[in-house]
Amino acid sequence: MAVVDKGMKILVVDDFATMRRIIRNILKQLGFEKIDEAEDGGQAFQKLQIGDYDFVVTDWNMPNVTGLELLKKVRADAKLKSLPVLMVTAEADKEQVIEAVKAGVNNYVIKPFTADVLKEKIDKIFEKLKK
Amino acid sequence: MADEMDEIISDFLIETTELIEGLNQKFVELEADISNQDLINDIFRSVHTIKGASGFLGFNQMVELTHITESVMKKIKDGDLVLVPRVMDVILESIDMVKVLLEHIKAKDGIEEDLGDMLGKLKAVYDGVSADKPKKEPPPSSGQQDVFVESSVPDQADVEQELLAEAEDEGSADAGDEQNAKHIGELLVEDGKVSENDVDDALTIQDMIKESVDTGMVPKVGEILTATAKASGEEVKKVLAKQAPTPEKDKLQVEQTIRVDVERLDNVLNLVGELVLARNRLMKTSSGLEAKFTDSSEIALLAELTAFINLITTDLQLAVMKTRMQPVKKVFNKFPRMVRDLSRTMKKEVELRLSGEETELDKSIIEEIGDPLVHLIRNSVDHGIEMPDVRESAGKSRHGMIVLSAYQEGNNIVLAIEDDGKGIDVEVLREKIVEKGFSTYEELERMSTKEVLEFIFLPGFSTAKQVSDVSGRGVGMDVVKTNISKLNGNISIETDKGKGTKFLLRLPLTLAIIQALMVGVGREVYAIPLASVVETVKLNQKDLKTIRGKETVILRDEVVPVYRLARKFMIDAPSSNGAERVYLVVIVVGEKKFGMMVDKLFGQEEVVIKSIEGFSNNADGIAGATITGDGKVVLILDPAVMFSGAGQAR
Repeated sequence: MAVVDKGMKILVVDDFATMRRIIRNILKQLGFEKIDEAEDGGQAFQKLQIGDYDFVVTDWNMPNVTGLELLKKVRADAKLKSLPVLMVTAEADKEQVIEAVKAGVNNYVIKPFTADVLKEKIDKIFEKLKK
Repeated sequence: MADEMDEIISDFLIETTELIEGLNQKFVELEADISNQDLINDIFRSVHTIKGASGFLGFNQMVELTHITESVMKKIKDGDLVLVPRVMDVILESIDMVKVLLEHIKAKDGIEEDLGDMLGKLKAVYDGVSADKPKKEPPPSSGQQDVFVESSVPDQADVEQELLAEAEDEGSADAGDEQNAKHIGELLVEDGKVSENDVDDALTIQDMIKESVDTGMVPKVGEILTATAKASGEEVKKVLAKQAPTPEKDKLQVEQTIRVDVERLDNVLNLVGELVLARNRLMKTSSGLEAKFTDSSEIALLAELTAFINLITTDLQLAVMKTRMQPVKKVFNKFPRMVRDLSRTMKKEVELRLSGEETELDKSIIEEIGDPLVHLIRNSVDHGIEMPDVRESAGKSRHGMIVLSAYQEGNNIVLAIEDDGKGIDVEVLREKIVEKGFSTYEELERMSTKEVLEFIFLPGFSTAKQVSDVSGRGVGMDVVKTNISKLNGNISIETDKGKGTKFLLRLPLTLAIIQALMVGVGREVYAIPLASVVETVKLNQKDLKTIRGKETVILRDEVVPVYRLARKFMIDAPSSNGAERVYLVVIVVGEKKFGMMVDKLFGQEEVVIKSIEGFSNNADGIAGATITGDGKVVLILDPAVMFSGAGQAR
């Protein structure tokens, strides 16, 4: 199995503080320690440009800059373009997944998800990256 | 872990409650402007967010409810459902149910609401309208919950088709995935446009999607190839051009906020209060020393440091007060919804307009101001605004208007509730006052209109001929008045018969620390909140006139009743009988002036209000106690209570 570095720096992006906390909590359960948060795509992008993040978990539906817009901006940025991004979507957003794939998302997860599901997704992303 | 969960749930409750409060406001705005896509998106996102978080936390009823509400919102968002009032009613009802569920979560009572009725209504709204519309393809349901999920995007097929056409003029987009994929892949490889590796990658991505999406919404390989920039740049460009331009609304500065437990802030405020008291004492001690040892350089240094600490303490106090300030929007938000519901029940047409929602007030005042405002606004809808027909025949628009505004005026915040209704008929009011035995015509004759209006705030008074279930039975206005007084504020009425009524609430910016005038009676010291003090005058015996057995003073042609503080507290002092070498503190309560006779004036001091344990604070016109600079405990008077009500005016 892929070995994912537990020390990697993760940015959790969601406009709902409770959701950020839930995701942060699940990531902690999986052994990740360095977790930072952003309230929307705009804030996230700024943080990404300044800090050296290794992984982004972002919600889709956010005010101002959505998860998809964030993803596009990341992919269009010379420095960030290969940063792995996991998109969190809801059941109803399924059709949008195609759009996310087009924009270059690494994987996505439907909420609510368990720690195991998230682990699987993260493992998959990093397994693929190593190839 | 359990604690962590509890904290998350409490966060969820706070955040969801905030969302819901915002929602009510948005819905009402939306009803006035049903095509406002931004609002619809906002509302959709809020419901969506609540659903998402509830799913994680295992609040199944909440998920069930928000899921279908979200589906209805989605239909509205997609333009498949028109937001008629009937639909709005159902949605609002479901939001109310969300609140009920939140209460259960909060109370941890484990009670499950019977959602059947609510879900039925929502489903009826959802289905009812889709029946009117041309039939859509049935949703590919994978579970019972999916019944309400719209899983088709109208132009999906078009996009697919175009993509495929570009990727080598493929035939039908309806052909099987695998075949298609291989075909496109092969063709692209043949043409040297992509490598076999890339096709493999595309297939992997397709698998990845297939595995997560269980309803068959799997993109074609050609699409993935194009999308992942493995096909030619030209094609990619075309695809990108098709994507709707997304607005770039970057906020340049990162917003930095943290949530802090109110208890901690209260604690900080208390500590600052103590610091202010200590600062006052330090200043007094320092100036005493300075007077005593005029040529000591150390004392001079102490004085300098004291002045510095004084400055910092004042700044700190302001800064801490700021942290507790919240916009009145927090309270105002619930009113549009309330007015909407009320006017619908009463078959009236009322619009509520808000202004100055960003005006900030101390958190504790924000919390207390809700109920009085509810009452006043209900009152305006119920008694103020007339029925549409009545308005029309009076030459007004059928549409009544209530304006709720907030603005700062000096050290006060003013909240105004103004309606363009029928106003208060002062003649009718006079009759009512006499009929109810509150006063006599003779007495009323001598009163100004303002004073007559004050009767409305007496316990057990109501002008409504019929008791309606909206404004109740005349308990309320007095409660409103008492609540406002408790906040060191006051309330006044202006009315114009036939044109409308305006209630004005004046509130202090903060409760805990106030500017006070220190006065002396005999050997006692009292603090009078400076906010209610108009002026102080030195009294001469000849100014004092007795009118109808009451002592009064003529101040610039205005008759002001006089009260002797010494008598009230039964203190033997010069001011208890005579009027030589005494002062009069002129206080305004509501619109009325009173003179309070005292022996000495000590000056202005910043005092921290401490409530007195085991003592009903409002009973006797005492707001609390404080510790002065010289370490003395001093009572803070509450003029609003001391002089409130016509009955007290003796």
